[in-house]
Order: sequence, then structure tokens, then C-alpha cells
Amino acid sequence: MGLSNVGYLLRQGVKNVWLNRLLSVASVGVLTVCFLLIGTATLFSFNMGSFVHEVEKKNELVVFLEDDMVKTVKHRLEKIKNVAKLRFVSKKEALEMQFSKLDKGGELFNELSQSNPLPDSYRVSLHNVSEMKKTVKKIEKIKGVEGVRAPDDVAKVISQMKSTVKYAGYIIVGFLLLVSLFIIATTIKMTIYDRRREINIMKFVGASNTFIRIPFVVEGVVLGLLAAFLAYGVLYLGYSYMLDIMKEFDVEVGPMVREGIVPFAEVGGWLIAGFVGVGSLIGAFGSMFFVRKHLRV
Amino acid sequence: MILFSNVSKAYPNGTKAVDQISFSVNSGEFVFIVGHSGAGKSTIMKLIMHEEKATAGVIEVNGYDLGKMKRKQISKYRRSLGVVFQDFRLISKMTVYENVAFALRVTGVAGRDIRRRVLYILDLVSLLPKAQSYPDQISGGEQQRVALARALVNNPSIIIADEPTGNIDPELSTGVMGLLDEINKCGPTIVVVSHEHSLVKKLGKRVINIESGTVVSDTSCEKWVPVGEVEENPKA
Ligand SMILES: Nc1ncnc2c1ncn2[C@@H]1O[C@H](COP(=O)(O)OP(=O)(O)OP(=O)(O)O)[C@@H](O)[C@H]1O
Ligand SMILES: [Mg+2]
Repeated sequence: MGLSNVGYLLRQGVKNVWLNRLLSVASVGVLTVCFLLIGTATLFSFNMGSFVHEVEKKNELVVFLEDDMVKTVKHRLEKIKNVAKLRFVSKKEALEMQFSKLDKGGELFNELSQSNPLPDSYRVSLHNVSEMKKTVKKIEKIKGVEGVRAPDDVAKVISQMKSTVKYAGYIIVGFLLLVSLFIIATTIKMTIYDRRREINIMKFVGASNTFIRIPFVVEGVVLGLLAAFLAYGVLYLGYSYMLDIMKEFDVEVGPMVREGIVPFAEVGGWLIAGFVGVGSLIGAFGSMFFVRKHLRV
Repeated sequence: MILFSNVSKAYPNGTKAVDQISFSVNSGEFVFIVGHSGAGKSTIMKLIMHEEKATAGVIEVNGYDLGKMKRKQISKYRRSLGVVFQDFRLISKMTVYENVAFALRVTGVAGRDIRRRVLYILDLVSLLPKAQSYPDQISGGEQQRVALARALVNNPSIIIADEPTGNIDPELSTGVMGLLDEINKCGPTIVVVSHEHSLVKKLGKRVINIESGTVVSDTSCEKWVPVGEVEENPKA
């Protein structure tokens, strides 16, 4: 096949998108809707994950220190992989925290300030709360640690939530992907059935299978890409719009939710990469597969 | 060179369209195939272009044994044929020019040669003014000539035409037959299915007469007496 032919076949594929515009619009529409559903599910599950993580970060271990061991312990703590953040709380700060709600000028406060019974401590937030038990054990072994206080119940709930969110996400996206594949396959099949006569004629004029197939594959890829970018654009606008609305209700929404919201940029890259990949693959292989049936003459 | 030996074709529904037919057409020959509607003429054409496979017998065309031809060879084999279909089979989304050019493109001819060649052929069948029209914008006779142009464009060694004059007025019919006759003089083998007895007579070529799927006569035109002399309505 000559080079001039390759150019012709590519142009033919793009031209066919326009020539068969009714079915092109239908195919792109179907694919876009599928992408939108999948994208929405993905964004939602990312946000759920991030929200749970936000809760996770707020749950700190309190590591009580023996006197004058601050530096050594810090060093050892930093070496533990699951440790995300350390915050030092001195004796004095701890005392002030205890009394924050009560009268700080009171007698008791003054008295305790003289001989503070509270130890220095580190507030430790973890990357992964479901491994809290292990991490606590490690920390307890560190020399200079007097004791660790861990919010066990919360950890349990969070780690359950995390796996629920994760698997629900997988299942929903996977299910949508399957349904989409089925719908898209049907659409491509219809599109090609509509043009079986054309394929048939080409065969009798002596066109090789590859020669007939290439424009269809190009057409499929173009349609897939159109749907990918369209879905991405709609998701981007929709998400931005939703964030704007949330800003208006900032007060009610509260910091936990606000901080947990995933910026579009963080997911957008994955989405467009996924859409472009899936869209062009479906377009290419779908066309190839369904044209095949009509090539056997 | 076309060779049919004891060829039969039964369609899946049981209709026996061709029954133990034997004949051969030499390179450079011009042959008419005539016969009643439903006699099996189109089936013979379809067997030649490998649209249908024979259920028995051997068909050899251009050195290919069609029964043993590999799938991959089919497209190459078809490029050595020029076919005018009874129902034209033009691609409705392509212009007249593109329809004709397509037959050249599949052979891998370079772009500028395609243009020159296609315009030449369209001129030959007097269709240059309609080059940019679509098949549904031209008359039946014009469509038929596009089909003819497409069959001629890549210099096939065999041209088979199923009712190439079925939809055009007598004058044009004579023109088309004359054109085929002239092309035949330059080398290609030509097989034409036709109902037009007067035309067939005028050209004085070999005539194979088919009835109910068998050859009832295979002679020169002078000896052939058309059955009933009545024009049947060709299936559109
Ligand atoms: N695809 C098919 N399936 C079943 N029977 C068929 C098929 N095509 C043709 N036939 C039958 O085979 C017989 C021969 O048909 P064919 O088309 O070869 O006739 P023909 O000589 O070309 O007729 P016409 O002059 O009307 O074009 C007819 O009886 C027809 O009904
Ligand atoms: Mg016929």
C-alpha cells in the first residue's frame, strides 16, 4: 500500500465522520454519556476517599514523653513509615490546652503551673489508620516514650469506611464500564450494519480488507476522541460549577468537607488519559471487530 | 481465459440456478450471455466474480482456480476483473469521480495518475460534466455508465457486464456496446449479459444461450434465434 493511499485512507476516515454525521452524533453522544457517568463516579469516589482521609488526619496519637527525651524520640518517630506528621506539644502547652475552657487565672492553674504534672508529648497523625495498632506497638518500644494514647474505635470505623469507599468505587466504575462497553458495541454494530452495502461494494471492486478497515478504524478513533474531550469538558465545567456553589455555602459546609474536596486538576489528568485511552481503543477495536463480519465476501 | 466445467450452483434455499454448465471463453473474446429472466445469467456472473461459490464443478479465471483460491488472493483476483453490476452498486456517499477513482486507489496507483486516468475514462462515457455529482443526483442511465467507467478504469483483463444497457435508451445502448467492442479490440476479454436481441445481433459476436441453468446453445449470432422475441423486464 503506497504512501499516497495511507493519506487517502486517513482523510477518508475523518471525512466519514461528517458524511455519516447522524450516526456519528449518536455514537459520540452515547460514549460521552458513558464517560460522564464513569467520570462522575470517579470524582465522587475520589472525594469520598479524600474526605475519609481528612478525618483520618484529624485523628492523632498522643505519644507521652519522658523528661528530656524530646530529641531522641523525635528522631526515632520520624523513621516510622506510617507517621505522617509530628506536632510537639510541650508540658506548658498541654496544661494551657486543658485549661483553655476554664479560668486560666484560677488558683488551680497557677498552682499546677509551678509543678506541672503533665508530660511533654507528640501529636502524631498517621498515613494509614488501619495500621494504627502496629504503629502504636512500634512507638511504645521507643526509649523515652512513656505511653501512647490511641483512638482505637475511631480507627476501626475509619478503616472500614476506607475499604467501603474504595470497593464501592471499583464496583460502580467497573459496572458502568461494562454497561458502557455493551451500549457502545451495539452502537458501533448499528453504524457498521448501516454501511454493509458500502463495504460489500468495496470488496467487489477489489479492495483488500485492510484498505476497507483503515478508514473505519480512523473514524472510530476520531469519534472516541471527540467523546473523550467532550466528556472531559463537561465534567470540568460541572465540577467547577459545583465548587462555586459550595463556596457560597461555605459556612454550612464546614472546614472538614472543604479541605477534603479534591481539586479537579488532581483527578482531571487521570480522567482525560483514561477517556482518551478507552475512547480510542473502543473506537479502533470496535470498528475493526464489527467490520470483520462484513468483509467475508 | 474463463473456464467453466460441470459447474452447478444451488442457493441455500434449494434453488438450482446453474446446472452442470460447461463453457470456456478465450482471452480477447467477446461473448454475450442471453436467456430468459431467471435463467441463471446473473448467477454465472456472480460465480465469476466469486460473489457466490459453485456447489459443484471447477471454475478457472485468469489462472485462478476459484474453488481453491485463498481468502487473501480474492481481492487481488477481483482487481483483474472489471465488473458492471446489474444493480450498479455505486457508493452513494461518493461522487461519480470518487466512485470511479476508488477502483484505482485499491490497486495502489499514485494520486496524480488517478486523476488523469479517471477524467479520461469519464470523458469516454460522456460523464465529465457529472463528475462531482452523487449517484442519487443522476439518472439511471448515467449511473449505469458510472458503473461501466469504474469497470474500465483499471485496465482489467476481463470485463463482465450484467445488463450494461438495461436502463438506457437505444442510442446510448448502441454507444455503450460500440465502446465495449472497441475496448475488446485492445485486448480485454468481455462477457456481457443482455436482453437486447437487436443489439446482440448487430454486433455479430458469440452468443451463449442459457435456459433454466443450462447452456441450450453456444453459437455465433447468425445461428441464434431468440426465444419468443419478446423483451422481458429486467429486474432492476
Ligand atoms: N440469492 C439467491 N437465493 C436464492 N435464489 C436465488 C438467489 N439469486 C437468484 N436466485 C434464483 O436463481 C435463479 C437464477 O437467478 P439469476 O439472478 O441468475 O437470473 P437471471 O438470468 O440473471 O435473471 P434476470 O434476467 O432477471 O436478471 C432464479 O430462479 C432466482 O430466483
Ligand atoms: Mg440477472
